[in-house]
Amino acid sequence: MSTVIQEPSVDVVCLGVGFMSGVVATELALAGKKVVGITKGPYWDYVNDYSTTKYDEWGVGLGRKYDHPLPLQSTTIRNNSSQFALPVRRYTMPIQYHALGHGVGGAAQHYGGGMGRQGPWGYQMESLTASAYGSGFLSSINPQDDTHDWPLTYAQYEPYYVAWEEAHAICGNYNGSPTNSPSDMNYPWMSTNYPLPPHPLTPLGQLFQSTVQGMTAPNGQPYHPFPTVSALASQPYTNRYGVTVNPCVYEGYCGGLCDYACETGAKSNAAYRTIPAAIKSGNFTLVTNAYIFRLELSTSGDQVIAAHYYDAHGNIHRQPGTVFFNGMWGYNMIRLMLLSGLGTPYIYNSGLGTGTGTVGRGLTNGYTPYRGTNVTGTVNIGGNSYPAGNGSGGGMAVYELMDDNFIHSNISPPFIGGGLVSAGGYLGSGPGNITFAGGVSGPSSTNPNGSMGSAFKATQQKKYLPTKQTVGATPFAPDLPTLMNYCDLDPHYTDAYGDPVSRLTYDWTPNTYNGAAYLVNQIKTILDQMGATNVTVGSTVAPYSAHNDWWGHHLRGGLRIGTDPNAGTPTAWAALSGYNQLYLTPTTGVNYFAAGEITNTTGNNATAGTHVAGPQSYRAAEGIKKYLQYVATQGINYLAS
Amino acid sequence: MAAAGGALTASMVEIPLFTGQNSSLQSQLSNSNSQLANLKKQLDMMTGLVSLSITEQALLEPVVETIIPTDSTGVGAKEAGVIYFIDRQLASEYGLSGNMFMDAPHVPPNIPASSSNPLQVNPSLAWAFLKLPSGAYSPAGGGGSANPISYSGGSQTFTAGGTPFTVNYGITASPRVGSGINYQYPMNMREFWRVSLAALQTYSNRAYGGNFQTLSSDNQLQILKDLWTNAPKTKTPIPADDLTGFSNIQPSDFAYELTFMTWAGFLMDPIYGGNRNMVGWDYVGFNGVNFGNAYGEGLSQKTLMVASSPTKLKPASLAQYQQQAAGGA
Amino acid sequence: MPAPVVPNRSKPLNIPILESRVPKPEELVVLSKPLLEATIKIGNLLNDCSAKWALGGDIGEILNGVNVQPDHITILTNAEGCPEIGKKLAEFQVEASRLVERQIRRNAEIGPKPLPVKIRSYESRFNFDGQRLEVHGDLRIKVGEWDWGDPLDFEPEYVYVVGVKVPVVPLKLKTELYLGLGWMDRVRKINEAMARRHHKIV
Repeated sequence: MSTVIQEPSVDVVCLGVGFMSGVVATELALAGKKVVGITKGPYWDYVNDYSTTKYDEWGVGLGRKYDHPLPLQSTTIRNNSSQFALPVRRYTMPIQYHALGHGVGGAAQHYGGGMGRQGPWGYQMESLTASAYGSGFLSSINPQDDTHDWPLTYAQYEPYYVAWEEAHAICGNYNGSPTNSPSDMNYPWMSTNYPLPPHPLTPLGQLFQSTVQGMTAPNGQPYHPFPTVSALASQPYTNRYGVTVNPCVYEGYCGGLCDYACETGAKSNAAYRTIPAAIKSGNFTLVTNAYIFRLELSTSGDQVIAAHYYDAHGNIHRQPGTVFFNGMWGYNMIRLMLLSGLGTPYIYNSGLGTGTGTVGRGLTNGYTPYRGTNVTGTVNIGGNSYPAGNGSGGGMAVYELMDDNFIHSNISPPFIGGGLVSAGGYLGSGPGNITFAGGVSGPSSTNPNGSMGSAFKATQQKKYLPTKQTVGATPFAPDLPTLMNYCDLDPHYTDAYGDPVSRLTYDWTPNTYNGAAYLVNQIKTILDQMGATNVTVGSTVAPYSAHNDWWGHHLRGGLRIGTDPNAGTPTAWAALSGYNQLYLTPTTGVNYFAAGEITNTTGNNATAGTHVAGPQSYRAAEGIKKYLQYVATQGINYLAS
Repeated sequence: MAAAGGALTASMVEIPLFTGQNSSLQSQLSNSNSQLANLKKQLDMMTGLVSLSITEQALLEPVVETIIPTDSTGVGAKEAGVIYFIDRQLASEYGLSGNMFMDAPHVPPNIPASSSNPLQVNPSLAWAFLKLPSGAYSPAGGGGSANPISYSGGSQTFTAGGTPFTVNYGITASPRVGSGINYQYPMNMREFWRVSLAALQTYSNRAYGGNFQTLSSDNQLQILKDLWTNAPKTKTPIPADDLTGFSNIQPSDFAYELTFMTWAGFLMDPIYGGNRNMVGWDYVGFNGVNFGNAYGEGLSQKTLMVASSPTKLKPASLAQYQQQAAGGA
Repeated sequence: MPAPVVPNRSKPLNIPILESRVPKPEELVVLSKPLLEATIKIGNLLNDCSAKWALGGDIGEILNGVNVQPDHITILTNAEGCPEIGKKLAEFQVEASRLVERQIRRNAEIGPKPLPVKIRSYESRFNFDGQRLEVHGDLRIKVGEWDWGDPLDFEPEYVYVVGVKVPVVPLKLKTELYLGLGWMDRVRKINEAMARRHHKIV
């Protein structure tokens, strides 16, 4: 047994140092508080560490050399509680499963830089659906439905979106909303535009824009296209903390199927946006190569006393603090809470179809299924599908096929919400040499020899120099929370230190593919108008099975939102439902806050999850400031906003 | 047929020395020839194998050449040096499954549901006896018992939009080949390849009458297709005492690995041993680490990224980029 | 308090621990909050300025990622710019524009002995919540006994400061000036910033 090294107590202990902790640590450090941030990986110095070695699809994409080492901690996956969950044993192309980041910046080391606000409707899916389509509608379309409103409305979160965007150098020009007013419940209206202008538009993006501007959306109004929102800085920028940001150099090793780290700091990442200001303040201590394995609780079990971690040599450290903020990757956070006995674990009874408890509840997927219902066409616009561009700019998007922007009555099969539809992103967003259309495959009717032989080889000739492009989508409507999808501790597998790994029980809810069946036809209409040829609705699939997988890297959830006390009611100060309310009494509060991709979002692009998490982190920072202000001596009324 | 260890070296043409030319031209040509000879020697130094056995080399080269053949459209896997890529990978982290999660228990995917014969798996002691601060066991956090846990899969019928539908769940999921939870073998990649290559050769002899490298190219392609459809297991009986067949490996899993690594060897940066002289990149029109000016083309990414027709550029490798960068470009 | 649970296994030795050096505060390029706020305010107020102007000095460089620590804000403009800026920032003015010639603190380091450096400009001063702004119109430089240079002229480049677009003196011009003064440390800082920005990507 190793000796335990006692660390001095601080005001705030941040667990994990990714996007969320970056915000909390910086906000609190700049407010004069002592903050410690603990991460299991290194501090990435993008100039030194990978500026010459990142152009390496094999090492980055498959080797995941700048990423979380899988033997350190993996996860297990199954579709249903009746199954044995299989561990994720390897990284594959495209990056799919265990998508934990590593080190300062976290998962922002490997994303394509997309961002997009969740609109007002997404925050009130339960109540708005009930008022529009009847109180029984949700439960009729979603088995064992567990969908709830967020604790705050979009209007209440909006200032925090602004702060997030100013801090992270988000680029765009939101001119999509017809009125851009707070009374518009169906558009993410904005009180101020993005701090940076959008990236240059591609010819396909222009075609999409001009096409939809002349079309009528299902709501009877014209489409209002807007540039895809990007977390790649488009210009030199100084953020709200005085941190300078380099603009994107468009070298194309960005998103695609490998999701590259950014060697100029242009891609938004806590390491280049928030943490520098925290370090500069002198109030922030960064502990790297430190693996958190437990949270020590008070004897009553409702306060966090200390975080315990292993350092790079295997010594155990005990880090006490007044407040703890969990900014770890979604289900890694849940795992830590379960290992520590924090909160009531979620227990699902498959026989009864009921679930009790909170921690681990409400797993949803925020990304498109691998081989789901899709529609494609061909447009005669070519280009270089090689390093030139980035992973999130160049295109245009429309909001009219999302949320409740069209009437869902009399659509069969029924669903709620919709999807963000966009086109025109840079072709050179990221090389995918060994993945092509989703990886090598075996013989099929379209490819009798699979990915082998001369006929297939010929299809790869000059594929990076296309004279035309396939345009289309595999859309999906929001994946709704259900009692059946959850996260808990795996009974059979452990991490490298001997603790159980997380287990994900997840299958697609019908809303996703029922929505897809409708959306593909809308997108088909747009493709036809664009003059696309060979427009084909393919692979209409229902229900999605394990084959239509794209799990892990956009599975979110575990501390699901809601307003009823039994499931964990959010406080006004934590951004999400969950822990803070669980042991609420009128005079004490819980010193544990969390933020992240831990609840459902509305079928916006995948990293709308990241963006949706953004306001949570600012909200949590605000709550922590208030907590510290009133702690112990004054009594806390968490029910007051 | 391929000689062990032999393979293509850089195809370069010797410039014949002309007699009667002036002496300066002669010495220039002589210098160029010796430069070429040096480069050939350097490349020859890289043209060797560190991991594949003699029998594996003899088998693998025609296999990869079947997957990516030399044909009228261009070079194939052999000339691109794909087996060197695979060889180096088998000798390093990929082969040792260094970045893989390799712990037991090893349970295969695609086990069909069975209530009469469920899967029983012991829990980890860490989970069984997970102690919480209060000292109590938590049923959801941990089990409190080391008894085996039983899994039977089953069907579940749901209703959505008034329409009931049934989903069948096996004891384990049915992930597609190539996904991260498909590989569940208790062996690292080097072993997986060794066993599978031997099994492939065994199947070739059993079902087609000879070693893979002796067969017609039609049969060679057919054998690889057979792997994808798991024919070696279904069509060719494997004697129980035969350890050289696909007894413990799903042939389609090896088919995936073979095909994937062949294409990787064709298209990954040459620093890894394949894609020699960037012939693979030439073929697909990929520019590697040439951002528009590696050879002084003077092209800008900002222009190329919004073009509506492609511009072919000569590819540059990672090593080239680093050398240029070090030179202060 | 309850004892922590200690798993039986020690640090996993087969997983590489990547070397990790946390940067020191002085290595990080962060503009101080008061100057940041003043810059935003100035950028907004001069938004519709018709004369050519740009942020110069250290502030102009840090906004481009150069690791310097400005303690005031510098604006370079031409002769017409001074009165226009003076009018737009009248509320904050503490010294009206007048022709000033003075020697700067640091000498030129281009020869065997240091040479004094003088500047001459139409200079006006402003105060934004304790942050000093110096505006220089038609700035000219004189090194040692050589002639006065022409008034600095340039096309500004643009950066964004929390959503406000502001013009800055191009780094290329600053590099030329520093080379002329022999201030190689300043040249190096700019090069380092540009290396962080471009990484040999042409």
